[in-house]
This record gives sequence, C-alpha cells and structure tokens, in this order.
Amino acid sequence: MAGKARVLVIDDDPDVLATTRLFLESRGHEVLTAPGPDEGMRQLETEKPDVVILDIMMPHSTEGFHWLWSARRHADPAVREVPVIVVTSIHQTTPIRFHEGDADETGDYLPAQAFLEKPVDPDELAAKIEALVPTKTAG
Amino acid sequence: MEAVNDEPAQPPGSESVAEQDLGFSQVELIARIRWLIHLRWVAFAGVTATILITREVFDPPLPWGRLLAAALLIPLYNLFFHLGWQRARRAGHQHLQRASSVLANAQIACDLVALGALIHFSGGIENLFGFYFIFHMVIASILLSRRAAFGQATLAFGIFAFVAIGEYVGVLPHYRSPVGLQVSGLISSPMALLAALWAMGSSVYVTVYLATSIACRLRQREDEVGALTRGIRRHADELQIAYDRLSELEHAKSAYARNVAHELRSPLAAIDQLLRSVTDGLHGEISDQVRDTLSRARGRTHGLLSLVSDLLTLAASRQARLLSEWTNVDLRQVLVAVVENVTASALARRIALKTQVDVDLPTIHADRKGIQELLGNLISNAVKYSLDGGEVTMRLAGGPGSVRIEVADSGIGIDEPDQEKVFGDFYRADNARQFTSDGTGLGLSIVKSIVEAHGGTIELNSRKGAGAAFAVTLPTRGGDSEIATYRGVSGSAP
Repeated sequence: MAGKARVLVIDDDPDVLATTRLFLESRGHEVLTAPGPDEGMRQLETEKPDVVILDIMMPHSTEGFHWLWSARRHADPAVREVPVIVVTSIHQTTPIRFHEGDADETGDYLPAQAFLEKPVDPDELAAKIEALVPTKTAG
Repeated sequence: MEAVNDEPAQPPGSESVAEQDLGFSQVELIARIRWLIHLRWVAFAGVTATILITREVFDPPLPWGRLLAAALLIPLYNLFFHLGWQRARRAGHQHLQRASSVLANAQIACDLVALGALIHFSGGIENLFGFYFIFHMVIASILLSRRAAFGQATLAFGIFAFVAIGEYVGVLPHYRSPVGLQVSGLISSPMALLAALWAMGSSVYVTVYLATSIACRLRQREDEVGALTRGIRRHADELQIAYDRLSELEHAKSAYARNVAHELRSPLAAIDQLLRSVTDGLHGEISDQVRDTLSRARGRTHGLLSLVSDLLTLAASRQARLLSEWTNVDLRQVLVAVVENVTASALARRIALKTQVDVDLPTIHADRKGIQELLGNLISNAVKYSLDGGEVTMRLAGGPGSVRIEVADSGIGIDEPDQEKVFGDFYRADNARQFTSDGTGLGLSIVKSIVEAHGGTIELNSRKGAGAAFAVTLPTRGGDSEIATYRGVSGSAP
C-alpha cells in the first residue's frame, strides 16, 4: 500500500483537522496539523513536509490565498516549491482563478498543485497526495 | 461701428461660465458681450483708418480734430467696459449675470452716441454711414430684451433726429460729406428732413420689431433646449449615482455570498467528514444499523450542501455581473466535461448518451462557469428523469450570431400546466417528486437565470410521459453589451 508522506494540514476548523488526520493516518501518512496560517508557515519552515493541505477561508478572511503567495515567494527553495493542495468551500463563489484551466490570457491563477471542494472525499485526497509525492508513496 | 465686421459669432458658452446655472440666452449674452468688446477694438482701428485715408485722399473741409476726438471716444469707453467685464468675472457668476445686461445696454448706447457724433462731424444726415444705426438695432434686438431694444431704437432715432433737426435749425453746424448723398438742399428742405426722419424712425423701429420677434422665438427655443439639456444632464448624474450605489451593493452582495458560502458549507463539510470518519470505522467497529443511520445523515448533509451550492449559483447568475469570467468558451469542451460527469450514472441505468455537434460550431463569449452550470443542469436533469434504458440526445448547432443547445430525453416528461412553473425557484412537478426525492427544485431556475444573463432564450417542448426537449439559444457575443437588467435575488438566496 502507498503511504508515508509527511503531510501538513492547515485549517482553522478543529473537526476538519482531526478527521483529516484520521483519514490520512489510516492510509499510512504522517500528519502535522496547524490551526492557522502563522503556525502553518512555522511548521512548513521547520518540519519540511512533503505536501501541504491548505484551507482558504480562515478566521479573518481569505488568509489561505496570502499564505500560498508568501510560501511561493519564500527564500528557502524547499519551502517555495512544496506541493500544495487547496481545499475550499468557496470555489463556486469567488472570481479567483483556481487552476490552469480557469486561467485567462494573463495566465494568472492560484499557484497550487491541486484543488478539492469541501467536504473532501478521503480517497480522492489520498490519490492527490500520492500523485504529488510519488517517490515517497510509491509501492 | 462694430458691424463693419460681419465675422461669425463665437459659439455660446466659450466663456468659463458655469452654464448649468444660467439660462441658455443668458450664456449667449455673456459670450456676446466679450465678443462686442473685442470687435470694438477692430471697429476703432477701421474708423480711424477711414478718417485718416479720407483726409489724405479727398481732404474735404471737415472738422478733423473733432472727428478724431469722436473716434477716440470708442477706445475710451471700450476700455471702461473691458475693465468692468473683468471685474464682473472675478466677482463670480451671479454678479456677471447681473452685470451682463447692464453692460450690453450701456455698450450699445455708447456706440449709438459715438456713431451720432461721427455722423454729425462728417456730413450729418447726408452721410450714408447713418445706416449703421440699423444694424445696431439688429444687435440690440438679439442681445437685449424686447423692451430694452425698443429703448435703444428710441435713443438711435433721438440721436439721428437731434443731429438732423439741430443742423436744420442751425443749432449744430453742418459739414459737407465727401462720401454723402450730396443732395442739394437736403438739409434745407423741411419735406426732405421729415422724409429722412420718417425713413430712419420707421427703419429702426420696424427692424427692432422684426428682429426681436424672431429673437424672442429663438431665445425661447434655446431656453427650452437649455432646460432639456440640463434635465438630461441631471438625469445622467442621478443615473451615475444610482449606478455607483448599485455597484457598491453588488460588490457587497458578492462578498456576502462568499461569506455565506463559507459559513454554511464549512460546518456541513465538517459534519460530513466527522460522519465519514465514523462510517469508515476509524473510531472502531460499528453495527450495520449505525452505519446505515449515519449514511442517511450524510445523505441529508449532501442534500444541504447541494442546496447551498444551487442557491449561490442562482444568486450569482441573477446578479449577472457576478458572472465575472467572461471569456471565449468552446461549448464542445464544456459538453465533453459534462457528459463525462454523468456517464457513470447513465451507464448504471443503461441510458444512452448521444451527442451531435456542428463541425463549424463557433465559440461564444460567455461566463465559463455559468455555461458549465447551464449544460450540467440540463444534462444531469435529462439523465435523472430518464427511464432506465432510455436515451438522452444533446445537440450543439451554430446559427447566425448565435448557438443553439438542445437537450432531449425520453423520460417522464413535464405536464403542460407545469411547464412554466418548472423554471420557478424550488418548484418540482408532482411526477418529478414521485420519480425521485433527489433535487432542490432550483436547477431550471439556475438554467433560466444564466440564459437570461447571457441575453439568450430557452424553450421547452414536452408532454407528460413522453420526454422533454430543452432548446437554448445564446448569442455568440453575449458578454459585449451591458448585460442583463440588474435583478435582485429573491427568496432566501444571499
């Protein structure tokens, strides 16, 4: 069975954090959780996860967007290039271009590797992680 | 004197006057006063040149000193008017408005006095330049009120009569003009004097009467046009304010919809994940009965999530500007993606999906997400309400400036009385409810709103038990015009 990716989950909903941890740990992944963007960035810098699962709407506003752009501009290449799976419930109502298929001629879209709508199907989430971290999850 | 120059008038409103505060004819008057002052400098130069040339060429026995002194009056009072005008302008529009009428009257009166003096010193009523009184009347009729214009006519006639009678009775000296009528005995014959007075008097009064009649009508029209223009401008300003308020409201609604989406969907999503963690056995083994109950709870949660999504989509499509991703959309690609989504459920019920797409189908300028919703709703409805083993036919066809989307099924159909109602919010026909409990009753409302936001039309052909065929026509350049009348969001949608 595939597994053993180090996954950082950033979400302000403790139930989502707890269940995502359960889903991923049951599939053999190592899970780190952060209840907000600052803690998420700290753990990203220190724990060096293989992949990040990021919520967009956090306590104040759309902190997830800002977090993602900060990560992409980070001085440390390991931080800058970490694959990010955006998990959100606002895809439907925001004009932001979430993925390449949505991009206009400027090519300006959110720099994440995958997008999932809440509620997340654990199998789908696991498949995304395995696709993004093939070396660790293969076999 | 200024009528020697017949150049076209400056357009009214060339001054920095706040026209919107003044009547149209008032604006015209203010513009003309400055024009008169400018023209008078030219007139002075012309008069002086004429005097000097006549003296050099003909050297008639005229009182040259007095003639030049009369000519010099012109720049003197013109300078006075120029300064008065500048001062009135500095004092503001209200003052300028009051001063303009006084200035116009005074200028024309001074011109008449100067003209009288010049004529007296250059031949009296024999001098053909006496006709210049007439065009001064035309100017007075255009610029002044009818009453003031008749006042100026009386002044002009009075000055002419004073010169004529004064010279006739010998109170004023008579100088022979080198360019005059040279009619022997003109100023010595009482009949000739009366004839000259009659000719001048009738000319100035008739001129003023005719010119003021026309000017009054023109002025009235101009005032009407001015009032209309101001009305239009005021309405345009009001519209702009309303539009700005609407934009703000729209922006606030957009943010509100986003927040509602998050606030409603997030806890539902968390509930679903919590239930899923239990049904997946992540908290230990559970009985089949508990699993079944929790699965039902998850089913209801998914129903609520669908409802929230549908309400938000409906809100967005009714607020056409929220459909903000106007771009060129290839319907073929959208159709492929939508068909892919419904293939599994169609296969499970042995429903055949048939597509037919014109080879030269044009792309359309549209909101991509809106079009995905539109096709997604029509096609998933067609599959949902088809009988097992049935058939759904989808056709995309290009027309002149438009595309036609047809989705037909062989399902339960829509009864005639329900056909209008199915496009309403939350309406589900009885046979649809009996057929499946799955559905929010918003799908066709969403479809209709998106079609309208794109300036398109939708038709439905159906009979109960004999399938339904929807035909949507969308313009290829749907996003170019100011789209769709703004429509508020009804019901409980944000």
